[in-house]
Amino acid sequence: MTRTRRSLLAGAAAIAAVSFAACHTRTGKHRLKLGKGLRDLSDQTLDFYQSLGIRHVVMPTRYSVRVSRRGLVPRTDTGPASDAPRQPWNRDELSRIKSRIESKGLNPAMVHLGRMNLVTLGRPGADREVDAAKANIRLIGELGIPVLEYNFTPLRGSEGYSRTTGPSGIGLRDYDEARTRNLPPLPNVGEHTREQMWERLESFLREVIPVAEQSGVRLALHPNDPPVPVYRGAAQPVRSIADQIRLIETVDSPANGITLDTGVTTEMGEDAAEAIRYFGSRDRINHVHFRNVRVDIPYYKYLEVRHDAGDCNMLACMQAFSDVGYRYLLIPDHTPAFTGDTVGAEMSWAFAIGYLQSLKDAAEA
Amino acid sequence: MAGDWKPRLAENVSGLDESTLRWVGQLGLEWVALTVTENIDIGRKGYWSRGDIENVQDRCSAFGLRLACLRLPARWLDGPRLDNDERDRAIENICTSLVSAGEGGVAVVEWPWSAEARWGKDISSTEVLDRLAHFGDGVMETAERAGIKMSLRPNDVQRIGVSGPARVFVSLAQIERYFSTIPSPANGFTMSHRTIPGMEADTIEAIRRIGAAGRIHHAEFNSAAILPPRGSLGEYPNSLAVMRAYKESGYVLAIVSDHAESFPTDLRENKIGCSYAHGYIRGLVQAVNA
Repeated sequence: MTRTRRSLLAGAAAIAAVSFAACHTRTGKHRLKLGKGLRDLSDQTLDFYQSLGIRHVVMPTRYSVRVSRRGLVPRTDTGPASDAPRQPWNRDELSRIKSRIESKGLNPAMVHLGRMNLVTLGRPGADREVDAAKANIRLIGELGIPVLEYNFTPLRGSEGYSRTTGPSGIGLRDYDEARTRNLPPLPNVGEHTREQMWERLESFLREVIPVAEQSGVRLALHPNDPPVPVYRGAAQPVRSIADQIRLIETVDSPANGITLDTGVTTEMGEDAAEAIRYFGSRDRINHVHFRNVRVDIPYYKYLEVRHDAGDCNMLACMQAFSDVGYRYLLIPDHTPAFTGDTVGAEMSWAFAIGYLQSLKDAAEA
Repeated sequence: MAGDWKPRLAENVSGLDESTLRWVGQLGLEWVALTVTENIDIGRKGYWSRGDIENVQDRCSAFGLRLACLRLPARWLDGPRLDNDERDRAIENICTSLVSAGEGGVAVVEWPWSAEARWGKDISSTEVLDRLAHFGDGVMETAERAGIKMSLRPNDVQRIGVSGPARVFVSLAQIERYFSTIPSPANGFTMSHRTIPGMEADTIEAIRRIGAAGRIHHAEFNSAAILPPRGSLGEYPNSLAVMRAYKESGYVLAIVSDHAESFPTDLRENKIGCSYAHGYIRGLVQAVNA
């Protein structure tokens, strides 16, 4: 019998109800962890988020106290600059970063693994990058950080993004796959089929998930964003709900989970709350990005908007996270550009965090 | 969604500069409440003309905004408050302003009454109430005909060091007594739910009861209760319950943020703290509509 994605998701609500009863009560102790990604470790940034009520953060892997502006449109992905394998993190450096964050009353709850060019491109030296990933997993396990997020793409479809203007001049990011459809492969990246990408991903998972289990660390794979099938000849392996289901079934372990990105899920034309109940009831959501979009053509054309202004019902998502007893970090992602905002975009992040805090309070009431 | 409760989510602004109006629009708000209004009176006539109001509306609409509420300049109330020679002319000018505001599409005009420092110590509360009654008799009928809802700003009971008989609006009973004295439907007040616990009243019950009676004409949503640094959550009612009470009371006029936290890096008009507050308020409205 063929299992369809829809039929899989259809049973999610019932499983979620069981999960809810088992681990969580509405009046109870479990609380969602609203957090924030950090780009720097300055007093200004750490004090600001702490004073907004944030207690859990994504820990950067570089110690910087310079507040920097994040561009609305991502930089063009030009592929690897060299074939040197990625090196494992330095324990002292990570410990120093962690201490700095903790000194401000914040809890480092997640780290991003960073890019693995040789692994994703299937090049010589990939085994050394896998070893580095394993070392990093063990290290964050020892530091008590429960989740490691990673991406798996040979090349991100970054050239499909553009800056546009929304109501009252707010800066927004849009995506249109038509901008990149006829672009050739990059010489330093080449062409990569979907089958090749899955072979590499499965191999990676079989190597690292046992290490993650031993280290008490959960991995969270962020779906390919934008979720297009191919970009410059490079297949994007995890770009649909079906792909995410395939991922968690490849190695059946809570350590092998996903980042549930409400924006990407909506870009796929899917109901994000339904997806949360599916993956959450199976305990396979290990990290969450909360953002919103208005979709024109699923997978291919959409506009990233303010958190309250898109197609995704954020309240329904928050309720679903609460109902399934989701225990890891939940961060706002991709805010629009408010005119006259600070370098750290504090105005736009304050709005997003206020909105999500409100939905969280309502979902937990 | 169709059928959802849609109060006029707005922000109190002190001016109509581009950066402020752009910010309000970028927050997704459709309404503004202008609190500093003496300078919209072109030519310093002492009242607002229809043209004055249209200028403000045009300025707002250039940013996709509409005017939800205008606050009368405090100085325009000096005559009625101090009961001096300017009293009746001031009331006449205010009536002219209300007609202009109504013609210009403004729904609510807020009026501040307190002027403690200038009243002196000898004035009795009875005298203050008499002056209030005279003012109300003079303006409410005009406001009603002009389609304007008048919104009294109560005394802030939490302000330290202010007391005395002149402060006649420090309890809900006093405010409601004024509604009985002048029962025009134009006579209402600004509900600032930060102040209600200080009045030893139940905030939720007050919003439901006074709101259902149509006497809440402007609402300041207390941000101190929703942002952790100010703490003291126990002092304040649950924000979701407050928003639900507004919905249940049928309140559809403006809701603005109030006493938003200010951050060390904050921008003019406390824009970062207010942005947090408006994010929070937006979520509450969505939650009570779910």
